[in-house]
Amino acid sequence: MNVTSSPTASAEVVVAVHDLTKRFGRKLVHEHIDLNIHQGEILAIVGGSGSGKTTLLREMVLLQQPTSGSVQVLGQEISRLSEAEILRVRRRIGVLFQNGALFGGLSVLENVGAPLREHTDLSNHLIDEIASMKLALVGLAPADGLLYPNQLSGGMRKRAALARAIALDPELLFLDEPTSGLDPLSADAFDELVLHLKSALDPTIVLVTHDMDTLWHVADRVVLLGEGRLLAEGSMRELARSRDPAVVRFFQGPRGRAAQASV
Amino acid sequence: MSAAKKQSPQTATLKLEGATLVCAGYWTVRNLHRLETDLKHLRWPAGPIRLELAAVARMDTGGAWMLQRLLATLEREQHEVELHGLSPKAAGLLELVRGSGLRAGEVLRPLRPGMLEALGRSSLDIAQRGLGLVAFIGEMGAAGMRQLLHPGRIRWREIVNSLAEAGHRALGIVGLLSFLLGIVIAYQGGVQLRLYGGSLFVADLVGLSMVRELAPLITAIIVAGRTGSAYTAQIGTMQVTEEIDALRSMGIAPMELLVLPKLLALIIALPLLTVYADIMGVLGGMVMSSVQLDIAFSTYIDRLLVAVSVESYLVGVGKAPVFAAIIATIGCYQGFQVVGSAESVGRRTTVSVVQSILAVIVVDAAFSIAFSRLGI
Repeated sequence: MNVTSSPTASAEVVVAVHDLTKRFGRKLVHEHIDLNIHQGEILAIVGGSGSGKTTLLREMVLLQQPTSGSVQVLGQEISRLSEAEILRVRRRIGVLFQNGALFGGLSVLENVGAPLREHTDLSNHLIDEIASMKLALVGLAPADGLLYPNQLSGGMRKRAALARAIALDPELLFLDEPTSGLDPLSADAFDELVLHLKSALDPTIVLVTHDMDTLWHVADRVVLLGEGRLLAEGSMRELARSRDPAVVRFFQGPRGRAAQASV
Repeated sequence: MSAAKKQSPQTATLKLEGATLVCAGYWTVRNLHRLETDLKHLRWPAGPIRLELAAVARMDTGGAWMLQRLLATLEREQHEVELHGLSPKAAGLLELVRGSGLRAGEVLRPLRPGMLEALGRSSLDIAQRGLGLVAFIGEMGAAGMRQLLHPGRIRWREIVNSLAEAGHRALGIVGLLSFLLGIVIAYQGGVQLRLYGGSLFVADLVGLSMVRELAPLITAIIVAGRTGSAYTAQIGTMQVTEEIDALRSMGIAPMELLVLPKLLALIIALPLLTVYADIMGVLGGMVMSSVQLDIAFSTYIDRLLVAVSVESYLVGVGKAPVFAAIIATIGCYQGFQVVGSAESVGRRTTVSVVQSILAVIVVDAAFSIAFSRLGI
């Protein structure tokens, strides 16, 4: 399945990053980045290790403050928000962390139910039902809900974490390296799962990944980060045709070509 | 935009009009609690029910699940149901939650064992942990023997590091606490002794109680809280991050690298700390006696030398290596008991501190009884 319908410029902008600069001490992570993410698209952020992908993601999910520049999430300028407003924006965002970040002391079902328990007044029973339903959506069996995170395989852990990320039906879903550490079959299945959730729940999805297959199969649009800047952006087809040396280096390695051939 | 939202807060509503249930508003997970309570109080008329959903502005999977639940209830009560005005998107969501194959009102719950079973399980668990501890001590002994036979394999560097960590860095807190303890004993005892004109005996009081009992005990308790817990946390975290397995796979016995140096270092450090605590305690008593009872330092020390025999001193210091062995063993053993998560590290660390302090006090009591039987 390959979605090439690149969203039109008229689609509502969900995340607007403008002139963003981030420094850690002397180290410049990125500089003057501009990026708009449109309603309903699946945007992939790629780049070599240390190119600041995850930092950019963390700035968009309000976990890190940029040094300068502005980030607007769901129409709100986040540097101007109060604590309470930030909380309200966060409730509309789901994040899948790289290693799942499931709470070790809670069962899978309780993990998925945790945001519901925190942000709604539903009865425990209904919360458990909705959590079980979310588990079913990500392809886990009801019995898996009783397991604890350390009893799960890597693929199951990612699925459980995804179920938790979509617990509140977020409008905006961030996935940090969704397929890292998965075997190729599980990674393919996870890509399918992301597309399935996209068609069922229609969130805007931002993912950070290295996985060439994910880029070809899932992403509508790809932005390439490097040297602290946005090096290129476009659909994978466009990037594959690009002659920009940085783009060619990144996408035309053996893995990139293999992934392209499999489309 | 946010102002408009404040004026018309998003809510989800339902109203029963005759045999028609009118659903409206935002059927999203944040608004469901009202629906949940409202639905409980509905009295359904007999016969077919019509669900009018045209006024539902938004629905998410939570809302769809609520709808599915409602349909299941109606079906169970044998009403015929007609759905009207369901938007295509909502219909898709309903289809999605139906496809999960989950039955409304049904959640798999962990089996809670009965009381007898729980009792049996926890007894078994305690027995297993006890046996595990015995096995651990055995392993430690075996590893220690191996090292004695091959002294080249003794990890001096780890021992020295542990010694610095457990001994040298504990000097401040051990010194301060025993000094204060000496002051308190001298003050409380001095007030009483003065009534009987026996102020000078404050040196006996402070000297004997510190040297025989309190210095070894308070040092052991501080070290259990400070060092025993660190042992558990360190080994436990290494267990979680698979560092222990990495050591094993490299052919390095964790026992030799992690446990024995800690044990040995603590057995050396604790008696030394105890001696230090003796000195600081006696010093505290001396200062307090001089301030409160006007006893000169030289008089105090003369009396101390008469009151505290070498025997008493050795009894006190002699207990310290035993306490050290207990603390190191329990600390390391609990570290290896960690499974899985960060939470387990925290739990085991607590258990480690509680158990080692308890064991130290029990063993101290046993020592007291044994010494008094032996007439020491």
